[in-house]
Amino acid sequence: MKKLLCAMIALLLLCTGCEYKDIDRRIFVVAIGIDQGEREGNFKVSLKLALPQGDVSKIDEKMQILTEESTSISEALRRMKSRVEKELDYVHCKSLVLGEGLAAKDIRHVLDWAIRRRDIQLILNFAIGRPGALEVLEIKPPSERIPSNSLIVAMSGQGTESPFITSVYAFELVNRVYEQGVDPVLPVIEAKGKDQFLIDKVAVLDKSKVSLVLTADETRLFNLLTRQDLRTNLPARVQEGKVQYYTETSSSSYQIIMRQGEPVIRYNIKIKGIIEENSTLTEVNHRMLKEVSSSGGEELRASVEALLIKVQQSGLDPFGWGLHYCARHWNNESELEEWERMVPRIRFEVMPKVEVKYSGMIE
Amino acid sequence: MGGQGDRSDISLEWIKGQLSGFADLEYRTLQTSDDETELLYVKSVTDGQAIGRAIIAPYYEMDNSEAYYRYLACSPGSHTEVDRKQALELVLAGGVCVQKDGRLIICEVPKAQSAGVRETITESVSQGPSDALSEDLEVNMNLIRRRYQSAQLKMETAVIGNVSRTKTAILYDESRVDHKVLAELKDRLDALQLDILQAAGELEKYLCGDKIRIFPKTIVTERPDRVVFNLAEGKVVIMLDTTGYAVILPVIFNDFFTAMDDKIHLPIAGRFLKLLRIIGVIMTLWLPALYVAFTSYNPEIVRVQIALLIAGSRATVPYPSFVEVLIMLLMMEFLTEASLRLPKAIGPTATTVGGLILGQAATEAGLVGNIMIILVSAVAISNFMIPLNMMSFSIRVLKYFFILASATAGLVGVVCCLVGFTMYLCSQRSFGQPYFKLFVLDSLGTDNRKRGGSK
Repeated sequence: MKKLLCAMIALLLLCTGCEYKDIDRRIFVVAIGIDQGEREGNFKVSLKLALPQGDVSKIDEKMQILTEESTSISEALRRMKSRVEKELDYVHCKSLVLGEGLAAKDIRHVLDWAIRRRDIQLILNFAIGRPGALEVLEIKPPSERIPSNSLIVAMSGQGTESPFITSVYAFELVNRVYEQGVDPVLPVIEAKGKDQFLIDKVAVLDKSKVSLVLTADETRLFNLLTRQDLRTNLPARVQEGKVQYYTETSSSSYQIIMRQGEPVIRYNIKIKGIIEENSTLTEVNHRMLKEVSSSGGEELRASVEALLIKVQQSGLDPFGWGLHYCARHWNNESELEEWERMVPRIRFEVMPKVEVKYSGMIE
Repeated sequence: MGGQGDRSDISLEWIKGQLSGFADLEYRTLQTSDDETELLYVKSVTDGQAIGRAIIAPYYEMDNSEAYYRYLACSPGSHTEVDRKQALELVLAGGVCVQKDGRLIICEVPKAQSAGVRETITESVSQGPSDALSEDLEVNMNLIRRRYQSAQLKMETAVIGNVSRTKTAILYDESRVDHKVLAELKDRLDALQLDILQAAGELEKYLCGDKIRIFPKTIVTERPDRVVFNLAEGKVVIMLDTTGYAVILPVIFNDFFTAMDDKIHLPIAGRFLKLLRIIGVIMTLWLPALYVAFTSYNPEIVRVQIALLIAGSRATVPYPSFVEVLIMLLMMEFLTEASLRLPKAIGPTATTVGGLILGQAATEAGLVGNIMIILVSAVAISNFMIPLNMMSFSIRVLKYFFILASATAGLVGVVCCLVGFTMYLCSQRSFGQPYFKLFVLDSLGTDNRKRGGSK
């Protein structure tokens, strides 16, 4: 028994272990950008590599971008392996940027690759890069200390709480692409020069390619309707003056109801707010707060209705109404067709319940 | 009868013959004008002043030799009827042989060489008594009896060791002790065959029997209040003369993480301290192993910021991560051991030179990463949070198993190792009692009992 144990330990010492590779022999890929290639059907894959700093106290960002064009993504990555001395490690890759050109054609190939590779996590953030993925990867904001960190932090919503950013994870995207009755959305990142980016738009896809890009204002409303507690400011008009109120809490829900055989989607939006900006220069009292609440609600109703009608007319379904309808009906064979016939006839009822309850901090 | 026969021919000369070659053997003849008395004793174990006061002075004060003999026979600790074996034992234990007119009396005048009651060294507490068990059994008994004034506290004595003849006391509270444990202990003590017994830890080794013992199965303590606390819990305490430590058994794993000042603290603070200790054990066991796993196998678990930081700090390190960890940990072990052996005056120098300068220089030279230094210090400090030394040493060794596992299989190895050790702990028994018993279940039981009693 003892001899056997000794022999086993001796054998164990001979193994170096599987996948043993020290962290300093790896190079971390923090972002991947995929564009259309020069030649038709090719992919231009760009990797943003984070180079570790030797001296931690003197932080200056070091990064490297590799670009390779090939007929397939895997081939491009293998070719890039021979251009760096360390092993490329994708485990910390947190964002994948698709070029606008590629997104206008088909994203499903890239999506399939991203979720099939086991070392790329499913919490990868997807986005569309404008004008191209490489340009977005090359952005280096001066506030950034770790390569691509600003992109990761901004896209995942860990840092900025901008109401214009919608974060989309790989698992969400693949879910929306293959689920019936809901359409995928992707945030659009615009490169503004070499050290700034702008993420304030959302692209709605028809399962495979971009077919509608919402404006910044519409994106904010889209986020208001799909997310809890969106922190934003919304306008209201009182006594010919302009007031902006800050949403402390927000929630929205909808019901699909049939009224005399006609489908109606009724949105309930509840917002509790604080006045943030006031151009009327009058004292804010209880009556004024009521006024702000009701006029803010009216304004919100008009803009949300406009957005909903725009989405309806495009024939897309980023809110998942179809899925919602199918989930509440039993006739599995015909419900989806029924829904599709119904879509053009849908009317919207938006019922905002804005409650501005506090005047802000002015004495 | 053999005893009778022995006694008839026992004489001072015979004992003297048996003890020939003793440099500290003292043979004296007390003479007056008409009378003569012989004295024989071993100087090093007897109290010279007491001999002068109690044996020699009365001899010259009393003229009547018959009265002197009776005085000796009546004085405490004297023996008149002994056989050869007993006589030798008594003399070796500090007896004085007095032979007068062919009649032999052995008076006990032992000298106890003890330093009195010291302060605790290895198990200090912030509040609470600071006296430690001493090397003298009588003093220890005094320390304990004073704290445990109950007629139920029984003490049995035995002598262990053919040569060392170590006096051993077994203490237990008769109304609370588990008699099965007591019987098993006595069986094991009876079966012991050894020459020298000098330390409490040694006794533990002989009692437990297993060859490969990783975890201590008995508590070795120097605190009388811990002894009393455990007696009240129904445990058996073995005390050895000349050691200054007591052995407590049976124990469960959790006992090793109980400090004596837990009782003193407020409940929330006490729980917090206990939690700290458990976190300390977890840190000291796992941190080095997790470092190896995270740097060499699974860098995806830590955040990208930390991964880059580790990669940066390891950029100059020329060897694999587990070698780096082993080198630093060994260095730390050397430091701990060295500062233990060093004279107290040099101790701080060793820590400064070793800890500060070595660590600083090693990182500056690029031999170890910055993060490694932080990690090793955290491991070293948290290791000493365990109140009992024996367990602290076990944990110190155990972390190398975890490093080995993580160097061969990464995080999976660490998990396998953890499961393995949990299974091992569960399979262990301390004197028939499950070693890894969950204390939560226990306290639930006592709560119920308390509630039942108050009704």
